[in-house]
Amino acid sequence: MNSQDAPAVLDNKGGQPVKLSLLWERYGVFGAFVAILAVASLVAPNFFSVSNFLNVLTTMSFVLFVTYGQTLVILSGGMDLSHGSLVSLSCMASAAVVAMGHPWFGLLAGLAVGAFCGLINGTIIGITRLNPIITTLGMLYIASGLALYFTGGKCIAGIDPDSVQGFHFLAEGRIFNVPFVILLALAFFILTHFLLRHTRFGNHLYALGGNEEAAEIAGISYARMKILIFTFSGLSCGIAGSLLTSRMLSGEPRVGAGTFLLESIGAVVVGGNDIFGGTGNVGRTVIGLMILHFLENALNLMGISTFAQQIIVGIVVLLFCFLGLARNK
Amino acid sequence: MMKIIHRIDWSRFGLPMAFVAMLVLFTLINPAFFSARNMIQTTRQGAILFMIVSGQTFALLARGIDLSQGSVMSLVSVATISSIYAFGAYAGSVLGILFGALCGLINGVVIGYLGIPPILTTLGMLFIALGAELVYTGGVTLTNLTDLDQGRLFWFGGGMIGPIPVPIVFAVIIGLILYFILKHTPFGRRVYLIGTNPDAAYMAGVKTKQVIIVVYTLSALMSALGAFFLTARLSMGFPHLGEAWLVLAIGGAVLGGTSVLGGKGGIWEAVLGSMVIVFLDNGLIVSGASSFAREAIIGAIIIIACLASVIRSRS
Repeated sequence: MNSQDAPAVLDNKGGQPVKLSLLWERYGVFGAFVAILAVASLVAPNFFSVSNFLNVLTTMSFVLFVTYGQTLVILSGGMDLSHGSLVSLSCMASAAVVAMGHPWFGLLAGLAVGAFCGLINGTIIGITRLNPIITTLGMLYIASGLALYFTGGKCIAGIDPDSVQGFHFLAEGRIFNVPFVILLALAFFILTHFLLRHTRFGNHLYALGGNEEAAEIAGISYARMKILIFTFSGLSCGIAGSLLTSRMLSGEPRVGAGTFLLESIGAVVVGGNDIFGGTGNVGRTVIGLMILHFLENALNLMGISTFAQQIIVGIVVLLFCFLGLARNK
Repeated sequence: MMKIIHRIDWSRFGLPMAFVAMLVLFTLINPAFFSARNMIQTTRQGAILFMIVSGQTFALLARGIDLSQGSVMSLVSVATISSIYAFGAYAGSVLGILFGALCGLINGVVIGYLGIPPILTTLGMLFIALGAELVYTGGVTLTNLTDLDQGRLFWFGGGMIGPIPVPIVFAVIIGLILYFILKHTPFGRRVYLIGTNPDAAYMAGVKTKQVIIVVYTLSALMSALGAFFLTARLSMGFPHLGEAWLVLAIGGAVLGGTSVLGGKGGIWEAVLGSMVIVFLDNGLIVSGASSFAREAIIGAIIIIACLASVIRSRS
C-alpha cells in the first residue's frame, strides 16, 4: 500500500505515456464531482448561484468536522459508528453550559465531552483490542442514551442571542460575506492534512492502516495510536456539536441522529479512500462530502422528498464504494 | 471452595449464572418482576428478539455484520400491512416477510458478487430500505385493517396456544430448525468455515459467494419474521418499528458469546443473549429506570460483555 497518492502520476519526464488508469485513480472523483455540478446546474432550478453554493457549503461545514475524524479512523484501519450520537451529546453538554451564561466554557464543554468519549473508545480499542465496530456501537447507544437522559428528552432552549454574541458568531457570523464556519472548517482541514502528511503521527497512522502487524513489529504502539486517533475522532464530533449549539442557540438531543453517521462514513468512501485503511487522504473526503451534499441540494431544488433522498444517497455511497474497489484491483 | 470456583468453566456457565443472579436481584427490588404474567410477557418479547438475534448470528458467524436489520424490520411492518389490504391476512403476511428476505438477497448478492464489505453494504441498505418505506407511507402509520384480517393477524402476535404465547412457540420451532441447519448440515459447516478462515474456505472449494447470499438472506428473513410478530401484535404498519432493534440484535448476539470476528457462536448463544437483554430491560423498567437511562445502561453492558469475552479468549 502506498501511503501517498502516487506522486509521479503526471511526471512525464521519462517519456513514459501517462497511464489513463492512474489519471482515473487520482482525479476520477474530482471528475465525478464536476460532472454532478454540471448536470445539476442544467436540471435543477436556481442551483448555479453563489448564494446557493454558500448555503450548501455552510450546511456541509458542520458535517465536515466529523468526517475529518472518520477519515483518520478509517485510514488507520478502523471505523467509528458513534459519530452521530457523540454530536448530540456534545451539543447538549455545550448548550447546558451556555445556558448558564458561560458561552466560551460551553464551547470547551462540548469539545471536552466529545474528546472524552473518543478517549474511552480509543482506550478500550487500543488496550483490550476489542473490535472498533462493537466498541463504537456500544458508545453510540451510551451517548444517545445520555443525551436524552440529561433533560428527559427535552431540548435546552432559551439562550439569549444578545448575551452570547461572540459564541453565536462562530456558526452564524460572516467575514467578507463568507460564513465564518466555512473558514473554521477550512482551517481544521489544513490542520488535519498537516497532521496526516507532515508529522510522525500521520506516518504511523498510514503504516497501521496499511499493515497492522508490520507496523507493530516496526515499533509503532497500537494502543497509543488508537487512543490518539479515536480521541481526535471524538474531538471532531465535539467541535461539530458545539458549533451546532452555536448555530441553533439550543441543545437538541437528537441533532446527530439523522444522516450524520451515513454521511461521515459515506464521504470517506465516496471520496475514494480505501475502506480497509492505508490509502487515501482528507482532501478526498472533502470532495466525497461535497458530492453527497451538492447532490442532495440538487434533489431538494428539484422537489424530491427527503425520504427519497435517503435512498439515492445510500445507492450513491454503494456505487462509489464499488467503483473504488474496482479501481483498487 | 476456591477449588470449586476454579473448576467452573466460566466461559460456559458465567452468563447463565449472571442471568439467574440478575433475576434474583430484580425480584428483590420489586417482587412484581417475578410474577408469572411478567415472566411470560417478557419471554414473548425475548422470543421476538431471539429471531432477530439469530439472523444477526448467521452474519457474524460468516465474519460479516448486518446493520440493515432495523430498517428491514420497519419495511416489513409496512409491507405486511399494505399487502394485507390487497391479499388478505395470510397471503399478505407471507408477501410482507418475503419483502424482507428480498432485501437480504440483495445484500448477499452485493457482498458476495461485488465484493463490497458487509458493513458498508448493509449500512447502504439501512438507508435504502428506510427511505423506501418512508417514501411509500410518507411516515404515516398504516391502520384500518378489516376485523377479519385483524383477528387473524393478531393471533400471531398476541394469541395463545394453551398457556404459551404464539411467538414463543414459533421461536422454539425456528430455533430448532436453525440449530439443525448450523450444526448438522454441510451449509452450516461452511458458514463456520468461512467465518474462521475465508481464504481456506475458498481454497477448499466452498462456493463462498452462494453461502454468503444464503447467510444474508437468512439474516433478513429472521428480522422479517421478528418484525412480522411485532406487527401482528400491534395490528398496524409502523414506519419506525425497527429503529431500536439493531443495537439489541448485535448486542444480544455478542452478549451471548458469538464472536464478532466470525466462526464462533451459534443458536444457543443467541437464545442466551436475547433472554439476558429482554429481562435486563424489563427488570430496569420494573425497578423504575427511565427509558433513556435504560438505553445508556444496556449500551454499557454490551461493551462490558464484549470486553469480558475478549479477555476470556486471550487467557
